[in-house]
Amino acid sequence: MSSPTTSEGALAIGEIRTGFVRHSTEVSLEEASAVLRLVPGEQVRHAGRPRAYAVSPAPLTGVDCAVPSARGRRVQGVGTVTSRATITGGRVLQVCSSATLVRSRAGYRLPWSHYLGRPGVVECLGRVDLRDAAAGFAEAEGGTRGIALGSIAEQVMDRVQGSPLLDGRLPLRAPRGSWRWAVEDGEPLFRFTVLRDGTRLVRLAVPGHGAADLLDLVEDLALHDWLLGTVETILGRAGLGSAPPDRTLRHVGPLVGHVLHHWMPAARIRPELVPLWDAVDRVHGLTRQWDALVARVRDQLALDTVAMLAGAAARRDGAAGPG
Amino acid sequence: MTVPELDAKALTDRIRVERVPRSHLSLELGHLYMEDLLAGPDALRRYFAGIAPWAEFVRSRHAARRVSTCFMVDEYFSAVRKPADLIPELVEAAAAAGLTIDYLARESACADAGGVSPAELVLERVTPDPPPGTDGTRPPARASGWLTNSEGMARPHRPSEAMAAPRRWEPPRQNDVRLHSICLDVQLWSETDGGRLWSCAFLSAVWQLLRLGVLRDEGRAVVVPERWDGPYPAEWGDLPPVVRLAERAHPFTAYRTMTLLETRFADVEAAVRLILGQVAVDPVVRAQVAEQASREGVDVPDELVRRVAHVFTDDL
Repeated sequence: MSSPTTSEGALAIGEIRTGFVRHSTEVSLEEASAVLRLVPGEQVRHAGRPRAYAVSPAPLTGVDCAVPSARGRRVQGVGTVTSRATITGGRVLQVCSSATLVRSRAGYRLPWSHYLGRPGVVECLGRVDLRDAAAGFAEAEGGTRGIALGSIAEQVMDRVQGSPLLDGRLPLRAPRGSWRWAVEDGEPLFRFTVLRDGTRLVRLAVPGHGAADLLDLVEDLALHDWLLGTVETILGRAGLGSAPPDRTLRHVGPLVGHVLHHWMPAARIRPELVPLWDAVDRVHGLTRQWDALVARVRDQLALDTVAMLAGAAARRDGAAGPG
Repeated sequence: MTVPELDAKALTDRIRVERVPRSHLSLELGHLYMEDLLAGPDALRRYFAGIAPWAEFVRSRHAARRVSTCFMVDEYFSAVRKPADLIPELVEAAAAAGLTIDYLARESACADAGGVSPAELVLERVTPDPPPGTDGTRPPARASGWLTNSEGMARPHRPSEAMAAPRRWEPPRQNDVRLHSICLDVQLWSETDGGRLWSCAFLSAVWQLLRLGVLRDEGRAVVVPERWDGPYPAEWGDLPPVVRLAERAHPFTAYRTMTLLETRFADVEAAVRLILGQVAVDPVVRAQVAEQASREGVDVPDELVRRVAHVFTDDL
């Protein structure tokens, strides 16, 4: 992809959607590559280790609308949004649509070919305050959001999910994960907000790292946060500990089969950024919660197994008893 | 203990995209309709004699640089003359005016280059010019078969409003208007019994992209010129998409193109430029061109359409 990079006076913003690939089994790397051919003629990149991972080429979407603002300012932005879809472990689909906001040199709208010459960049035609734009996009609940990056990401996601190569069957029902992020220049920053509807907002700045590196980090955080949320949702439905074992198993079985082994924090981020992942993890306790949930699933399965074995033994003894 | 710095490559399977050799300029000596080619050798000689001073001027401006020449035959819309008859006539008429045609292309190759359709590839690369107010909530209409630089001309009819009071006339508006609009709507294809018929403007835009060497199919170059030995065939389809006619010639693909045309083609080429202004180049190819150009000290604009120049001229 033509990666969004921050330079002097630039701000990268994006939205990420995370969900299961609509397919009853894990898709192979070859299948993932075929599903992710969003720009026919361009190639899909993929890696087999540390786990299967495929990245689509980056289709562009043209926009000419207001850019975000926490204070409700209206500044016109013109340019293109770039999207990428990834499939991790043959199971998890993520789409990120993003754009780098820069100040326009011209101050008026140029011929469209100018913007296609700078893919993934949106030029702001008025006086834009990039801090205000970052806050409006990735911190404030109100304010002007402007570019509908979430809609663009969802359109790309629907396009991937509509691939004739997928059978349309979800392995598990889980809500889509939704993240909005802003990568800024300047002093180190990591500000995380959770909205009432569950949307995660993150503003960050890491000197020496552009949006392309940090996108990998945010995408990985979004993936693991979504895995955690999915396991919690399913365990809630399963009525762990109170429901009959067969109901528990009906819910928990797919979790073991499809979800648990995808936990692999920081598997594809730059080594220098791993400490940042760890720091976020320490504060938000992703791994601690995950370990506790996984232990609970395993303990419950063990208990249910023991109970079922005991039940079976009792029925056998009862059947074989004196009559 | 010192831990070595790890160089993590996230993706093991790197993209491979074929590089193509490049001239500095691809100079097109003309593009004639089949009916022009029916006019006979004298008309062709007159045509090349008219073009020659311009070609000479361009060549002198590019002295010590690589310039290749090309000519496209329109055999997509009708193919009344056979390659065996026409090609020698063309070569001879050009030579009479002191010109060499290095490469000869078939227009139908822009639609079908044997196993791959360059036109389809270009269509996938179109990112439409958004009218003001476009925030991405709705995807741009893809299937319409038209491209526009403005709002209000190709506006869809809304059946639900058919019975409502007639709306006031609203003028169309160019998307990047400064003071006054120039609105263009360009048809890319029509549907016929025989399938999709690409428009002349769209195929000409594809032709420019082939000359700029920016199209790839899964990393492979889409059209590679081939030498033809022996007599030319009776059918155009038996020829490769682009034939190298000259013994020695600079590469077919180039950093920039220039096209010499009669003024009657101005409308078609305005449409070509509108289309090219809405085509996004594969980012890997874009980077390759930039790298090749900077190594050679050549200035190549980021804007695709600004790599494409036209000269319109009738009789001198």
